[in-house]
Amino acid sequence: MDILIGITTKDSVLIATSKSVARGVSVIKTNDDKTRELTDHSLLAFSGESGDTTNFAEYIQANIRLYGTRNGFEMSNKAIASFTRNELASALRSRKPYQVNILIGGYDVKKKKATLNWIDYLAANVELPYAAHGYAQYYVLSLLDRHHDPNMTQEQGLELLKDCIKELRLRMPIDFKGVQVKVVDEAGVRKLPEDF
Amino acid sequence: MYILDDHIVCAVAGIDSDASILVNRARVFAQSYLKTYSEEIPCEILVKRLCDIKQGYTQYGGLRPFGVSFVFAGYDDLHGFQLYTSNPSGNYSGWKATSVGANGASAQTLLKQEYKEDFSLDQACELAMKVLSKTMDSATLTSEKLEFSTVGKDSASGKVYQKIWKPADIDALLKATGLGKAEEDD
Repeated sequence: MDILIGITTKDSVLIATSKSVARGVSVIKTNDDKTRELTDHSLLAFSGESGDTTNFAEYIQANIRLYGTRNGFEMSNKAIASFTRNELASALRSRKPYQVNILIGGYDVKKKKATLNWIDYLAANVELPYAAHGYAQYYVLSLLDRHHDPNMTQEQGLELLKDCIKELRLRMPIDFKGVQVKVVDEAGVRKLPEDF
Repeated sequence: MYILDDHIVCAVAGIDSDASILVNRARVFAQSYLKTYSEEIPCEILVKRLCDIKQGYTQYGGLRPFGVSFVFAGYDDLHGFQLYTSNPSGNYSGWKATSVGANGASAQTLLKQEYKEDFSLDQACELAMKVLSKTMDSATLTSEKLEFSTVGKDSASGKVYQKIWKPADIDALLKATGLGKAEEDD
């Protein structure tokens, strides 16, 4: 029931992830961070089988840092998404696949372009202007279809994201304890202090 | 002269049979990088990985090292046009103009004297021909004794191209630079 939403704007990507962790019928955490920073300008958000999720995310994070130190430059976001897809694809064909769904938000400082990649546990990788994982998709994709504009500002993107969260609070049958929002833009990755 | 990938070529000096093993490895590296990252391999990563193989044979006894020096010419978004050499010990270095192999040192001296930063492609081709004519043991240059290749970027489409010259192209350049004339006059 975890929520992952990503929205690209003209010069940034917004990534929202739900803050709750639930085991069975109990909520056991209300300030969970379902993201990992891969490079200065790349953020990975994950949902799925707990255990698999952090393990896989940190494995990808470590490999991307290793590439950076070995080669003296960071991987592009396309390369990061492709690498992650490949890891999921080979896990999928192993005895125990990772059950992890992923969004990767990135900003290319040279090309001045924000990108968002949607990757699911079946290792499908798509670059999209906006995306969501899990049940949240059913509620927010229609809103995003209607209101998203690739040239929108970061502020407009945040307003759209707030509308999405409002709809989720109204329609979702469970309390997801709000979302944490991180922004990736020219300045890097930062967490927004506001309460969503 | 070997094409390693769409954006990188290399020339070989030394034992050809050793070279073909490394060229094959390089092509596999290039394609496996493309499969993993959906991007062409940056030139330096490819050169470095080949040199890691070469270096390995300098550490342990019993095996003969690869008796090959390479000159790599390539293009990537990271550093633009690039030129590298590598030797059997696994050292590699980047250059603006360089040479390896027989009489490589004297060719290098000539290049150092005559190379200019703002050379056009034609001027660079002419200099390469001139240096070859002065440093090769044969009296006259013909397309039978030379291989010639260039890596460039199409200014209109922005696409990287590589050209391994046809004998006719080489002869035309020899004629234009006046270096192959002696034979024709006879």
